[in-house]
Amino acid sequence: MSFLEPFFPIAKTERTFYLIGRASLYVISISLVFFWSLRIIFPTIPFSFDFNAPQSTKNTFLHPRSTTDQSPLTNGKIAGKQTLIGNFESPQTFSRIRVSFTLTNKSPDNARLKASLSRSYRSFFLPIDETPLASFEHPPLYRDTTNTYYAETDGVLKRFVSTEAYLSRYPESFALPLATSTARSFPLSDEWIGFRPGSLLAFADGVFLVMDEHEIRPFGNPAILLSMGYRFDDVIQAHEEEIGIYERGRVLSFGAPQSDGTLFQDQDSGAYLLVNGKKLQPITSPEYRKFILEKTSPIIASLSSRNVTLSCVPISSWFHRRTLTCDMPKNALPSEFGSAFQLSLKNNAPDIPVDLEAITISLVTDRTQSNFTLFTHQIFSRLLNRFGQNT
Amino acid sequence: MRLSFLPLLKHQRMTPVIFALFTEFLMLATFGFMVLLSLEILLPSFVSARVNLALFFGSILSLFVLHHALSVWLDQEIRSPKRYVVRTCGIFLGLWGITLLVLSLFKFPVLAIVTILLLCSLLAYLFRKILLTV
Repeated sequence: MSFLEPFFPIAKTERTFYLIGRASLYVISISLVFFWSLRIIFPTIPFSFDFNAPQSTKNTFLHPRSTTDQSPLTNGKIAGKQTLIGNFESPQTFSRIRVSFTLTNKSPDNARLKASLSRSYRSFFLPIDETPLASFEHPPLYRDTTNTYYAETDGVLKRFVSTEAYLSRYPESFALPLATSTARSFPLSDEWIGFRPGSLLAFADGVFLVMDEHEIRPFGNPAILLSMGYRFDDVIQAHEEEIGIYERGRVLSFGAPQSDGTLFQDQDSGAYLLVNGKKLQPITSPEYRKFILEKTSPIIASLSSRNVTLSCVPISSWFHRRTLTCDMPKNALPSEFGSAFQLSLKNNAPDIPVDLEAITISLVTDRTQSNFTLFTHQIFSRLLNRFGQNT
Repeated sequence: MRLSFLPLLKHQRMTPVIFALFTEFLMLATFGFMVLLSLEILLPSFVSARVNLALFFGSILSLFVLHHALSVWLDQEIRSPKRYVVRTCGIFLGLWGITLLVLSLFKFPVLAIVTILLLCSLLAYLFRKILLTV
């Protein structure tokens, strides 16, 4: 047997069939490899939402909602003059963005929709709070002789889980010595106080984001942490007891919003903004600003670039009247400040409601020489990184 | 009813042709898996982010089992390969295995490298013994 001979004795009369079958097998294999390679080198990354199955885990276009009151619009119905918004995130490079959506049979044919897209960090799209953080407010804080820290809230004394947890929230100077009389006058709560929301904690092999007082969520992989704007320099090494007071939430994936307590800095004005209760709260207190900057690095973002939008008017395709599509070039969107996208879909008709069946946003990489060169450079630098050579 | 079509297939004149093509397809799939595994070791997550390698391996393994079962049921016997083909394939597979091992152990602690190499040598010895016995 050699590679040119069949693996089995084949009669001369069937040799022709065998040769045709063999040639077809190789042609199909080579074609499959070719098309698979094309898909890898020039990928099209789709983000979609099926309004018939809003709970499906396959939905990668996140949280479709109304702009006015942020209420979910998972039924796909957009009233006249109403705007639907949703998010997706991809740190990868691409050439253009294709917005495409399908109308249900109930929807009129003459739907007048306008799609707009902007790019920033997910939580940096939140509205700015009119009430700034003007002072460093804190409850009465105490430290006992064993260096355990306490906060007096709602008539009870709550213990901090560790000194590091206390120091992530307040400076040491805020804590007063715990007098015996104070300790006796307030009952001790069973509830522990952990790290400041927005802190990054490392435990075992994972890095966790403190979402609120009760929940931490692990990052799916290092690329997600970096894509969300966080830095490994800000990660605090935590112990089992410190982690143990929290419930572990779902794994953070691309597109997840930054938690409360995340600090942003607007590059244009230099202002610091803190994510707080679905709003961006400007920090005007110099004391708090100085403290928080000692604890964490701000994520640099830009208010002017989050307002840069690309727009297009989707039109129906010739082969499917109820599918409307339009393309936006990517290069007009600033790419330095975050890789989260926010798509707005406005129904321009005042009285005609639109009923969507599905929405798909595709990040398309065109088959050009420059994209091929970019791909080879990326592969080459990954190879160098794999063997410890930084590019 | 159970497998009653097998005697019919056994005497079909196209059976050796289809079986030869099936064997060739298996060879191509195995070669494809080797390429993907090599790529994954060179660029971790490059392949696994797109293809489920465990599923791919499981499918190939199942097809090999099916192939063996069919070859017994249909009395199809593979021609014994020529000596130089066996030798070339052996050298190629050996070099490929060593390359994968070296790439996988890159930046591992020396003690771990020694332990893994020792275990690999023992396994190779065991497989050789089994092969020679069979």
